[in-house]
Amino acid sequence: MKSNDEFYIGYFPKAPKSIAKWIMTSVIILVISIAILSLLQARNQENLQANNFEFGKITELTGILQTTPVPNLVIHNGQDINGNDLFQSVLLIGLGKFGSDSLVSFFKNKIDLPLNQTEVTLRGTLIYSDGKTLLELTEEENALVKSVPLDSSITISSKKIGRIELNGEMIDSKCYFGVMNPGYGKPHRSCAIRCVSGGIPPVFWSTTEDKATQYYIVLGKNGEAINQQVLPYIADPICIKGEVYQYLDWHIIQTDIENEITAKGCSGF
Amino acid sequence: MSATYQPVLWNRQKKIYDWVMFGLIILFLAIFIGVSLVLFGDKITGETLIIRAFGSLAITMLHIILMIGPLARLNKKFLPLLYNRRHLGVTMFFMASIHGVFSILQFHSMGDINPLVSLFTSNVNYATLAEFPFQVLGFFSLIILFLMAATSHDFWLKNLSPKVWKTLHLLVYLAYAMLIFHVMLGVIQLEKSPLIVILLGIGMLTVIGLHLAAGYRQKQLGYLKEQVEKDGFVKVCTPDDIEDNRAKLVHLNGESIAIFKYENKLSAINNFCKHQNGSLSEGKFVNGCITCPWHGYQYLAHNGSSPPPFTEKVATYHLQLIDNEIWVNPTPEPEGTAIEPVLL
Ligand code: HEM
Ligand code: FES
Repeated sequence: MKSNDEFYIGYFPKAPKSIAKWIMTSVIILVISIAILSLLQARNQENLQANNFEFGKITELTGILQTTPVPNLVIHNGQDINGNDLFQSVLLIGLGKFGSDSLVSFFKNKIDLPLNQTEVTLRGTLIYSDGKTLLELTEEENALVKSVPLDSSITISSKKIGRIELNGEMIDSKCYFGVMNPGYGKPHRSCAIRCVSGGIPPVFWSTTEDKATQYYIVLGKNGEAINQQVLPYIADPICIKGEVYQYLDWHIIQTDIENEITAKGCSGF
Repeated sequence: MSATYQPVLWNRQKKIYDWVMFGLIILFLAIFIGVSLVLFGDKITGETLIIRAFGSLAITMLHIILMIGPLARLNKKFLPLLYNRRHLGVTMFFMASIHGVFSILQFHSMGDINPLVSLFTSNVNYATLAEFPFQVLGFFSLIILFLMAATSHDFWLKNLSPKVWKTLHLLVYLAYAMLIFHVMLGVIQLEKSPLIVILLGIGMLTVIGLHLAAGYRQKQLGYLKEQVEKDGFVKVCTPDDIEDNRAKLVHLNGESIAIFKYENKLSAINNFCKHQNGSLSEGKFVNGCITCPWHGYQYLAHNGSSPPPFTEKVATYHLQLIDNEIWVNPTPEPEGTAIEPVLL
């Protein structure tokens, strides 16, 4: 067949033989390339965390409701080897990209007794990873199932540990510990900003020399929430200085936003 | 070519084209989702998987789309890939929208401000390169892809005028450039492996290389070594230099002229198809008409007009045959002007 005769016209039912063959070959090459490209791109996702967000599953937790340092529910979590009671603090988070401050004050008003003399049961969706647990109050105002007066009041307080200076990244606790994957780094930055802006407690994470990850809930120097002020630093490598406290199984860092957060790593690193 | 407009003029080739396209899309998604679940099934969430599978699919499709044009210019056997490229483009837009919509839902919705405002205002490092809000680049690219998909039908081609339409569709290169940065700035800093950078680099070099090669080829075609002129006519070649039912291209005084040899006659018409600027000199004389190699629009050789009921018209040129040499007058006659063919 002379090359002159080969001419493809799309609306003719059949393509000329030699052209059809050429296209068949191209399609086979395309199939192989697509398979390889898809495989390579899928394999490349390294930075995923083993997070859990029990979407669609509601869990009830019973404990003491606390509004400070951030809204949380203190639950009984077994005993240590000496028979002392162990407590764990479950951070309370709102639905979507919101904190739970207003919901928790709403519950506080509904409960007649001081919070320290009441045991409450809350419903919500569990978020957990790396030993930390959060509860999304998925049903919002209906999340409070019941409140029962306690025989005696319980005091839960933070212990001061000391000053610290650390390199790391500030993220929103909800996404980081469960809702998103990964919930840190640049691609996730705008989401983390939205969440912190909506009142979800910012958490600073840092890795120690032996590769263990430490978490610190970030508060202002007087223990106040500083969500709006930290927004420019979210999801960027930063150096943070401040006073560290232990609150049950959480660390808190109280920092002076004006002077103690810097956008570059700490000096000496 | 059309006298009235229908949503899609289906034919067998288009159906084969679309089936192959959907097959390849399914293949890509199946492998991507399968591999992700096997390797990271315990960690990855459904939303993340959707965002990543469709983002990766869309950028892969965009590379293929951008390669088809220059490939077809370099080798005519690739023309069937061009024939129904618009379906590929529209489908790519839908795949990219799934990625974009899920990203906006996942990263910006259910917050304290409107998701679209959040897209622009949550990361405000507009003054830096490395920290630039990469999602905004994805958003503007998606808008361009939307405009292209929405106006892809021939109805719009006519109503916007081919020139405006063509310019609009050239924006795909702007979208492509923004998407390169969207991916580079977004993901590459998260993943440690340089694989995506390498893949994207290879893709970009292939797209640019093919365009340069095709541009170079095109430049060499149709230029006369020396221009001999007499009485307004320019000497081109002998009739034997043109194959039967085919054409020779000449560029003269800014005009691109396709000189066709058919049924022992010669006629010259403007090279650019009224549909989407397909090069008619690469077309063929089929069933009594010059047929465009891209989508098969047809023109009568002696007057450059599509046969009724169609209405497309291109300019025609006067020819002379002197001592077995073809001479052409590069001054165009108005589009659709009948000129007596030169008899061989
Ligand atoms: C409204 C528009 C868009 C938004 C909000 C957006 C958002 C995002 C986000 C947040 C990521 C990071 C996802 C992750 O790794 O977790 C991403 C990655 C990516 N985007 Fe987009 N994007 C948009 C448009 C586009 C378009 C139009 C394309 C291509 C045609 C595209 C292609 C990609 C690719 C290839 C990646 C890297 C692979 C991946 O992780 O998905 N994006 N985009
Ligand atoms: S038929 Fe589409 S460009 Fe000629």
